[in-house]
Amino acid sequence: MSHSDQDPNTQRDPGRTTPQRIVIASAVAAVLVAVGAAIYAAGIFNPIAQSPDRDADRGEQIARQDTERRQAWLAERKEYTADPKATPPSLPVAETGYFIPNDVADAPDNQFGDSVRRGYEIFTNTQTNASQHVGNGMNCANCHLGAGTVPGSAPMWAAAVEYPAFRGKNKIINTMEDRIHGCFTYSMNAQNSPSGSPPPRDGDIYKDLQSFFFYMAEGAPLEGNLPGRGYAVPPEPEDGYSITRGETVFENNCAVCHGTSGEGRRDPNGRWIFPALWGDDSYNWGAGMHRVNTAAGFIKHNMPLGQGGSLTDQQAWDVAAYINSWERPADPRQLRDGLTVAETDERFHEHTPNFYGDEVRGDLLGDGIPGEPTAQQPPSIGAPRHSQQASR
Amino acid sequence: MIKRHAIRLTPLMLLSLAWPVAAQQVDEDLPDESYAAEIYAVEAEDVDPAAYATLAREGEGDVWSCASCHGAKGQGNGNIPRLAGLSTGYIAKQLHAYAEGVRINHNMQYVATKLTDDEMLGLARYYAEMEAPSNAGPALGGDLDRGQELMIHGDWDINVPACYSCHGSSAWGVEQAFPSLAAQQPAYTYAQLAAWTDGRRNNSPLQLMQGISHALSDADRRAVADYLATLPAPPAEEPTP
Repeated sequence: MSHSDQDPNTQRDPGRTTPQRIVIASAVAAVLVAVGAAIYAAGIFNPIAQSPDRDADRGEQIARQDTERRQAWLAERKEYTADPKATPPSLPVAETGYFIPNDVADAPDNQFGDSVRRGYEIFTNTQTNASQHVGNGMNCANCHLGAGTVPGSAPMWAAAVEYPAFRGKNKIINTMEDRIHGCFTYSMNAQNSPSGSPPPRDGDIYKDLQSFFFYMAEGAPLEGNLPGRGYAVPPEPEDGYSITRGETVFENNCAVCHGTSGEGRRDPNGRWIFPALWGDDSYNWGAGMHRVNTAAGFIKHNMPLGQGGSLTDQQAWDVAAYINSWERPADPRQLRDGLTVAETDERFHEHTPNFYGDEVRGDLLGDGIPGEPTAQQPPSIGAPRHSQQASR
Repeated sequence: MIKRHAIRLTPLMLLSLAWPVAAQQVDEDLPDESYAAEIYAVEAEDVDPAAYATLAREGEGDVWSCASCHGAKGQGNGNIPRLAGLSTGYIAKQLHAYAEGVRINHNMQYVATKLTDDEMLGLARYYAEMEAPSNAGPALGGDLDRGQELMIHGDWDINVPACYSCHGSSAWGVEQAFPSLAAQQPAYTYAQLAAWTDGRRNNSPLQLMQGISHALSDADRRAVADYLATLPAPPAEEPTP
């Protein structure tokens, strides 16, 4: 180093005693510490220590803020219950404006809490926890991301307050149990499950799932029509949608996870990780997702995973059309009512954009034979890492 | 320095695809980044990993032995990653990425530019088919509960999906493109999460990991890296028949 650095070691100042030198050294040290503390406190190190483009622990900040807002809402509610003249509680909403659902981790330690937790387990791992009634590779949470919490991904806190309701699909008043029964019938393709049917009516699967939904929705107004509910369908593009363009969108954005044949992928434990988008392991022709508009809404807001909103409306419609232009398990209503594909098309598929009953690539869509055992999983390009033992 | 080019699908390569179902789906305009791992895995079927064991263990000329840094069992250490049990296609893709400069690491770039394509495939299979218990453990003072939360649930407030939703229920990876994270050295996992943000690593399909690493705080990165280090090591990839 420089000469001056060595001066204190080589030259003694005859005018100062040792205690004086100690005092001076201590004072200098104290000043240095104070300057360092001030720099630290001013936070000007943060831009150096952290990338400037992200906030420190933003996830933790949001979680804490949401918890505080729910607690404030609970306090308001308590006050209002005790005194009807008090201000009624307002809706517990996050900074984003969306409803803040209860966190399952906070479910009470009692029978109801147990039911909530079971419902959560069924919802997130339907393959295992409702295995007798699932006839494909799907889990509830595949289409309701974040275990049914994410706005724009048909969150269950929004759905829970919308039933009973009349549904055009079956033209009756549907309770939430009816709605879940429908999910198992179509989206989970129960006709091909070990039991051959959705969970028996009034059974625990319905009760636990409803407890789970109900708990998340605590504080949401009945028929609240909350923002973030369902899949907001982007406007249909002026030039319509194209299977051919959709194929390109699929190859560029979807196939890395779902496979080039839409076959989905399993992990070394045999568990489905990326759901099949068509074929025997996917949702059947009666599921809402087979409609191009519904799938476009889901895709636009949620796909690719973690990059929701990155596709244009046109791309979302095109790729939704491509995915739904392939064969999938039969519409259970065809078998139930003993109909031909043409009759089923006319009765159940006429009023929505879909390819049921159409001839695409020379194949009549909808004529898959239901109830057959799942065909052997077609391997994706490249070697599967492990033998893919079925998990069910 | 040999400049290696991104893999291109050629008619010959199409013929090498083993399954007719898959072959009929593959078009020549498929993007490289998303399919490279799967294509390398198919190519690697024709190489004998045993023939590259000496290269891995002892090196050859200018090519240092893999084992000198990654350990005799491929378990890694410190910021040197575990290789044992990663997929063939993933390892081969990373070697190409170093050679092409889309992953920056001076040691690995030095080695990778000296390897032939076949050597990359052979070494990839050699380590994919190796099974070794974990020697990793939490080392960064991360919050393991938060790490488990990110693994199993993600954090949708910051648009981060669960790790398992792409890397598998045991974080043992999913087929070729999605690597095992289990029993990985935490300092390495942490460094990769930083590398995706600062551009030293730029080879994630659809930039999936860039988005995630941008969203994760420093504490989150330490939490998830430490949590993944607590998981059992992945099984060996099954040798191609």
